[in-house]
Amino acid sequence: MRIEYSAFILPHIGDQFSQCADRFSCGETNQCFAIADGVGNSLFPGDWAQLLCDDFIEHPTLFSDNTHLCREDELISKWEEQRNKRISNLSDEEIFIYEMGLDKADFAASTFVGLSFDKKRWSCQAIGDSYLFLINQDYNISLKVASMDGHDFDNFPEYFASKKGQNNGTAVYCSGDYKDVAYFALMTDALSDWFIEATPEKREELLNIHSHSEYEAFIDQERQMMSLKDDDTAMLVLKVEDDGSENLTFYSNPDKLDNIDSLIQNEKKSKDKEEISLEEKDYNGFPPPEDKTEETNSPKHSKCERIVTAQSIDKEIQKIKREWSSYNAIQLKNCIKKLIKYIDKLLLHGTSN
Amino acid sequence: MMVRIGDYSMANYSLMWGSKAPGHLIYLIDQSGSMSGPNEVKAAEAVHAAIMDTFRGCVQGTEVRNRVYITIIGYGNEQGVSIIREGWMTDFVEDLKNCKANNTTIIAPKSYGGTPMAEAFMLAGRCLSSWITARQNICANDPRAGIPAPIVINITDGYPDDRNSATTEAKKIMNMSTPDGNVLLFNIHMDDSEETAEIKFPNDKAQLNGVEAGEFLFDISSEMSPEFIKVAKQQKLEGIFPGAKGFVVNAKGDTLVRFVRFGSAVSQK
Repeated sequence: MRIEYSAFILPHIGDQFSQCADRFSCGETNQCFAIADGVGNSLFPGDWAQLLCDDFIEHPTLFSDNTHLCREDELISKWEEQRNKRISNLSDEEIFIYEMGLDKADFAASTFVGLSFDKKRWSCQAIGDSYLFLINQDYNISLKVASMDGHDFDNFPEYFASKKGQNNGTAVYCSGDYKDVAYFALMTDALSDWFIEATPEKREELLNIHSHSEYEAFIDQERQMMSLKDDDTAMLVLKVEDDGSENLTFYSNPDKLDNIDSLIQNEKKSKDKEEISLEEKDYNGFPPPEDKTEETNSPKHSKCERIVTAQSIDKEIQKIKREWSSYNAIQLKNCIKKLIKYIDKLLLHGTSN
Repeated sequence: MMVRIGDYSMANYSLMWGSKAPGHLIYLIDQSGSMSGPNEVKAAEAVHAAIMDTFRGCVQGTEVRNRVYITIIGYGNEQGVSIIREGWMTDFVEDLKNCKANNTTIIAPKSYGGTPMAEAFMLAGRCLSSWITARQNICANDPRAGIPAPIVINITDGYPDDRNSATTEAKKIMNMSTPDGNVLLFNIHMDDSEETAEIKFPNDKAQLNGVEAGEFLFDISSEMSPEFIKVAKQQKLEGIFPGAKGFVVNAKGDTLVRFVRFGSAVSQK
């Protein structure tokens, strides 16, 4: 039997990949796969979700026992190490923000689905509202596995936690043979919710996506139609082909496998190259956040220094000429403040061209 | 002052605040002379507590996500009606940090003159009109953007100088629409005296027992959906039934802070 696997991931609308808390791991060698969804209101949930997935593909048969992770101490220790690295060298303001977040949660939480294979059977363990689906040739769901199956999808899933005594809920376990299984699909909650309600034709479309850009276009379309909730989405699809062999062979195409670390790195590179101008961008027409980076002399902020160009000043003046008559008092006040900042910069630095 | 956009068949207050669909939260705070004493402090503390909750909800690790724009309007102060403070969540970081260090509130307790509630609703209406127009422009160019229904929370201890005008202006606000639903207006009337009974979230005017403030607020408060009721329960505001109006009259004890926290949380993830 041959199994082709593919996996894709996208963050919330408007968020960056670095802010995405969904994760997956593919363990072709050990013939196991995992997906996890970090709880957004917990602390560094993406790190925890990745640790769970990576641990499962290393130790699929000794991962969890209903309510506890088998290597809980080790995993918690790894997460704490990553957390400590993230919070080293924080500014006063960042320390304040971090401590405020601790009032909300001082540990990470994540749902989880792990799927492992041998020649005769598959096995699954799951906690929370991430799902394993078994799909037949007609793109109907023949089985769905989740510890919260039957519950409404909400913001309060069951999870494994990165702090002792804080797990919520009980994992479920399931296994079966490969009869009549055309696809295995692991999905996080928003996509699972969509998949359960979708028509067979729509499921077919999703399961046969061949690239990240195709996945992005599909998700965008469904979000715009309001049939898919705005949330991080991740899916791991395993297509089963009976080649007459008793052995299990896994294969994948690099184009069909997203890599979250690469996606984050690429995003960071694009952001570093971007010239930051004083345009309002997403705050279009409404007062943008105050630009505090200009007021500090710290070298840490030197990369964020804004560049004033003759073009950006001209653009701003043209915009004001067009729109000033519709401004309210607050917008006029902010407009004047921005012009003063421009003038100060000009007097201090001149223009870059 | 009707601001409409798009297809309202999807209106169901389901759009949660996010980076591409930030919310707008407006607090109207009565700063009239009658608020002098414990009420002015309680109002300032309730708004501060709600903003801190909202801030925590926007924290992810060591970053703050700008999921909401906050406007705080005082009425009955020396200016009559004025915007005391406004900004994105990141604009509040420095002030909240200083408040925590000095054990103060984001706005100072104040009491001064009359109760120009109608003018406060008018100013809120202008803020909302600007906001919705700005968001419409963004949505026109970005199909991923959205406009969650803005929320207005009115905190008072008295009656408006002109009840008819206040009712008219409040209803104008409640008729302002987005695809996610009309602007939500929640009201809380404070009265700690023992002679009056607290009335919470009534779904029928008969439950008001002829209380004048209640009759006024009934007409200018948004209805509680099942989702809002769930959020209210998280703040231990119980006994609310679908169809109830989102207001409290003669609020006692800590009802004020729980109510303001509830109103600030309805669209938070």
